[in-house]
Amino acid sequence: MEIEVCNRPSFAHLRAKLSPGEVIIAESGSMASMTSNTNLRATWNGGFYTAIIRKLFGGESLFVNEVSSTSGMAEIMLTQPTPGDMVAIKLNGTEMFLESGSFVACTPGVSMSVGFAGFASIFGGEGFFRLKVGGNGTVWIGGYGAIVERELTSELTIDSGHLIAYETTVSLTGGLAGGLVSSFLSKEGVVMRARGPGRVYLQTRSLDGLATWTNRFLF
Amino acid sequence: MGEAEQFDGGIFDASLEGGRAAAVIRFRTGCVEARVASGPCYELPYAGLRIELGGHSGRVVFLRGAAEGRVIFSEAKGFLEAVRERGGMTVEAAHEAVTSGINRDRRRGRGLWLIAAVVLAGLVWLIPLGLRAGVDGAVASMPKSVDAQLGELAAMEISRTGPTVDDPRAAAFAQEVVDKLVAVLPPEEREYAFKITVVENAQVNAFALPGGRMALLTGLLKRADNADMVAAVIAHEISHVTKRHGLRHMVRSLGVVAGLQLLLGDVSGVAAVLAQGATLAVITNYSRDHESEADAVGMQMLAKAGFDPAAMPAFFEKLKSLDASEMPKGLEWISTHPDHDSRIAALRALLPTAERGKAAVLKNSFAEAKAAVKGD
Repeated sequence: MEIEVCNRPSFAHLRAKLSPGEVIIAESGSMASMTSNTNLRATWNGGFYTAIIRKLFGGESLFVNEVSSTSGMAEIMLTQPTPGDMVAIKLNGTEMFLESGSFVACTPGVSMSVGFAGFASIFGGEGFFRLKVGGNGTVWIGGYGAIVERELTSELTIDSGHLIAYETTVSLTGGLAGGLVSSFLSKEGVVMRARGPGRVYLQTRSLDGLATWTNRFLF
Repeated sequence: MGEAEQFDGGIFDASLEGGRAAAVIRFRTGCVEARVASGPCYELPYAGLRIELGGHSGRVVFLRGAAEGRVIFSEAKGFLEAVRERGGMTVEAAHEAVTSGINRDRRRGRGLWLIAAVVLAGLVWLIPLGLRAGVDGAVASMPKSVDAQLGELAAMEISRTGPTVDDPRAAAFAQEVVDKLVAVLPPEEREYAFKITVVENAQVNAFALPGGRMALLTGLLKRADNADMVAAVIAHEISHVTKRHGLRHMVRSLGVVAGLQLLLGDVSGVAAVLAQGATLAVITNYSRDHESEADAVGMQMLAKAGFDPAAMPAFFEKLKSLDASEMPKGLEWISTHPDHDSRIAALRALLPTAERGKAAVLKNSFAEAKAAVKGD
């Protein structure tokens, strides 16, 4: 199996080459192109019930695609809806929470479930539940803009909408960026404070920011 | 607890690929040991061990060594207790610091739950108030024809109570009392078609349907001492009509949708409910505040029309004095009405405020009306 992230960071996509017997799991709708010997099979996103729970609470797709080769070397190109980077995260038995929409693909050893991410996770704007990946393998995530990896040593304040993935050892608390007035005037509003040990992945653009910027020209 | 006890967790260490890995954690003599799947074993001595809580759930236990870098963690149940047990005196202070933090959080948590409970209780108390205001608003916006329509639907209830007394002495007397009382109503309240029927029934009772139809039971006529007492009960019933208590009660119990249906002239839904025999209960089982309002408004009406307002508390005194065995049905009426003594007291307190009009002179005699009705 040979998987690489191409055209980084602005318009990243995954190019996966699979020999017979090799499988990767890809987010449904992410396929941009594939060779004729590629087999694409839709499966429940981690089993029937898990898939439904994930759809309801995690905002994830009901199905994922199991990509394999029928004969010889198959090649598939996987993309994400937003312009931006993709990164590979190697899981060593450790677990991570992914914000909805950031999952692109993973190797079969990765387990996917929905986990309660704590009450403070509501400040991330995605509800209380997150896609939780664990096990051993590699997961590829995508973001809007570049993706920045931060190993937490002290507390890090993150604007909601920029956090796309974090390890389960990271604690998040919600709060205001500053005082009540300055939070409003600085337009930073509600933020999250992340505390380690653990790693967080941030996207350098947020869709909320894009929407706000675009709205000025619409209304 | 033996050496064999182990916990699932993980370790952060610079020497690991990626800096972290899942690990199986065991407590040895003198140190905590984390073994990763690839084989190597990492240790943290109990001496200088720092314990922290954190992670996504706030329940992940982190063990840090004196030197920076290596962290062993687990979210497994019983892990924190195991640290205390196996680490002994060496970790006591660190363990104490964490557990006191947990207890503080629990206390704070309990405080938050208490606040939440108080807020919830407040909402539970406020919602009915809001609904009541909504119902009153909805009823006020409905035309008077809705009352009449509802009254028509329930009119059969009058005949169900007993046979109509046709004797003109009784019927004319009752209607004259009604007319005298209605004459003092403000013009907009006079629009209802007030019509009373004398019905043969031993109950000491009278009732009104929305829209102005009323029934006076012969039991009441028999038991009343004078025309003023009869007028007192009728004034109370007329007040139920003018204050639209029937419609209010029905909208309260059946919902605003039923009220809107009536407003739109669609009586089918309400008719269906009434046909199920719930009629009187739905329409005339007034709440206490409605009864008190009808008492107060009725007394003013009674006095203004020239009757003796003292007849109203006197009537209730009379009802109270009726023996339960002699008049069980009478007590049934009492049971749906406000507590007798407090009601009489409230009415007496209102007496000084009642402005009495010119004494009413009735063409029809009360004595003859009383004589006209049968039964005890």
